[in-house]
Amino acid sequence: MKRFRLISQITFFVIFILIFFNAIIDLNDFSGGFSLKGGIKYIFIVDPLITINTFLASHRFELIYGFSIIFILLTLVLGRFFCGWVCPFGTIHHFFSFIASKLNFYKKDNKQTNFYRLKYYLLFFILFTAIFGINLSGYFDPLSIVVKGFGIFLLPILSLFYKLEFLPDSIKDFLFYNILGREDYYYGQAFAVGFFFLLLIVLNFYKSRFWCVYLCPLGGLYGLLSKYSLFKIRRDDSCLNCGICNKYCIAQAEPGSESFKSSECMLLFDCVDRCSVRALDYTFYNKSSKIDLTRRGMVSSSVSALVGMSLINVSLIKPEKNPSLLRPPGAENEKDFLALCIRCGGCMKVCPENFLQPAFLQAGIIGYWTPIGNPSFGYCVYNCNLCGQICPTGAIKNLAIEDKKRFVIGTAFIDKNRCLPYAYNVNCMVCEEHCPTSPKAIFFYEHTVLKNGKEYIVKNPMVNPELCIGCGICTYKCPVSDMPAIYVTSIKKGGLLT
Amino acid sequence: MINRRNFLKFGFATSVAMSIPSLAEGGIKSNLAIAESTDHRKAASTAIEMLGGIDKFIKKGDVVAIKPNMAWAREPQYAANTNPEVVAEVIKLCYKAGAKKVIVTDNPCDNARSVFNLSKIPLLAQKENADVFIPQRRHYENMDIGGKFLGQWPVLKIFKEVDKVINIPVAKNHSSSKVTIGMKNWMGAIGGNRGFLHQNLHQAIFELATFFKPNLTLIDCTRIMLQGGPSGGSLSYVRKLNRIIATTDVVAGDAVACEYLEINPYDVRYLTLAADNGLGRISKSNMNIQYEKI
Repeated sequence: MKRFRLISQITFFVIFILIFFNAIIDLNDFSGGFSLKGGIKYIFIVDPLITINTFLASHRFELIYGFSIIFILLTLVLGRFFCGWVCPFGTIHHFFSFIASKLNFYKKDNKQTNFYRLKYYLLFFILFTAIFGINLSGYFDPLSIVVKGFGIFLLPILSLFYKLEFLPDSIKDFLFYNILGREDYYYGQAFAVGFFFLLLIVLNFYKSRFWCVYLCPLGGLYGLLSKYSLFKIRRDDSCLNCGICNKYCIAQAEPGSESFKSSECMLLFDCVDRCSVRALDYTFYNKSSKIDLTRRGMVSSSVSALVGMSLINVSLIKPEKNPSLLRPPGAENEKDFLALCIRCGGCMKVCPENFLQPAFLQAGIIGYWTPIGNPSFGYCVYNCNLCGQICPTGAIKNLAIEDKKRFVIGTAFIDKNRCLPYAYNVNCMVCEEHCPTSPKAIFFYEHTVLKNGKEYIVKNPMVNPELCIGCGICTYKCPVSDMPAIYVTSIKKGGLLT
Repeated sequence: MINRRNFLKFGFATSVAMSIPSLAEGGIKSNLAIAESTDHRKAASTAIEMLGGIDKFIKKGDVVAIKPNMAWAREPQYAANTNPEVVAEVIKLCYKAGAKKVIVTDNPCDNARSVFNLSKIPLLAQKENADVFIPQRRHYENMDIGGKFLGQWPVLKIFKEVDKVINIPVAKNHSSSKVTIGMKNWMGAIGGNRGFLHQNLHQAIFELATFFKPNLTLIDCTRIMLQGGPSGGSLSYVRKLNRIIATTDVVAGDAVACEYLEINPYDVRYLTLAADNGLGRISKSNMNIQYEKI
């Protein structure tokens, strides 16, 4: 069984990798418009936590997420197979736990603790806050974490690798066309995302599959379901009570004792394979095990959800008061956006000019790691709607390209103290030349200046707020590059330009 | 504007230029071939033929790099980029002349994928078996431009590495340099913070045109952009002229195309700068202009 499990883990991990890296713009095909080779939506359709939580928070449901019902039903029959056989993050943890055990990191006994309950409390906490419109699943859902970890942390590392001088051109081209899709990966929050991601992996060296056993709320959800699963590990009378199965049970399910916790069992089958007398069997076993969640824990998780929400809400800033809160094109209303966004970072991965970034506190605490545009890093490409195409939950709407071109994300302002024509009476026009709208949102008014006794014309740029969509290319290309003389803030007319 | 009057003026100037030998600058005149046809491929091939045929410029086994103006995310009809048909025709001719490989690229101003896609140049170029690639950082190398203003600057290596280079600009109005035609097209062959160059733009254009020495310049005047340049975006800026100018003197070519754009070439500082420094001829009397309409 263990061999089959390994095959399944590797297969699903490869599928994950393929889906993730296939969600990239095709840089060789110049025949079509901006389109992705594939999407990341299919990673999340096996994830009922994202589905339920996003529905609770936003009251919206996309039909494709109905697919997760299949995984719920399968769990009701088979048990918590997802964690042991499918989950790509689980496979990563499993791999590092394997390494840790080979390196003899686990010197202590595999002693039982009650910390496994944490994940259920975390699940309740997340679902409880979702009822109040706050979608925390993005921070704790394993699939969101792994997509974010790959996209916001691993890809920037690979882009550093790509920039190494001595790397052969063939490898550079492979990375550019198939993995990165663009040259620059600069994210202000890459450090924090990477730290979180690495921390969860490093915890495997303390306890194998630490995240899965103690923390994962999706595992908690599948655990609750597998309490009622039809198939379970069953111990028969030939058991010698040697306890070797308990020792090798990574999941702390205690298959060799009376109190076998099927909700913890990830169907890793280490116990079945290790049993010398074949006393353990995976079979139809209609006895529901109990998850001994304490009432105190339940109450405290609910109360902490309430307290946490209050904390978040007292520190809630008015998003419209933050000038740098440039949401991606297609994100219409801040409240809905926060409820729908699962912080997976897919939009930032595919943004062709590195415009979209994980937010720090621009959208308040609750908007941490949600996408915002930063024109110092890049700009929103006029003919591109890739962020809307990739967004798995519709937080960024998949706008038709003609609508995208009219979607206003902010408005440009000129800093006359720094703008060269204003400050130094020299012509520049870089912002006007790059302005993509038609007619251009940046225009000139000419005035005559006297210099060395000679008259000549200087063209001063001005912004027409009726036409500006806030794409930020003017900021990005401004030759006063350290602190651009034209900048975009989040104030806007709203909606589409007419 | 090509109204009748201008056309007659142009024809007169042409005939004068052809009949009276140049007094100033003495000696060899710059050859210009202008072909007009609603079939833009035909116009391109005819212009090259009038200048002596592609074999005069491309030898068997040559690796050729083509520099179109492929800078803006606009469809061909907006005349913000070189006409893709013209580029495709030149590629075809190069291969006919025995070129080993033809490479087409540019450092665009907008997002590269977006520009390469909408300009349609890569699509048609690939159909003619040309290599098209989006420049990455490693394709640039710091080179000494050797000018007063431009010293060391990152340059798209390919245009200095190949055997032959063909410059295929489009004639456009430009809100800063007045016009962008052949000389200014070389702004697309460099990297770095190009916006910085705008403050001494004419000097930069002159120095770049001196640095890059194309074997042939083909000015795409099939569609010209009379205002709103360089990026345009409205069909009302565009005039269909159906002409191609072929020359080896980029200054002369630019000067003639300037008149199509209703600009006096002597008002364009980088052109006078170039003419004064002997890069090419700005005066019609120093040009040997052939014109053919098919």
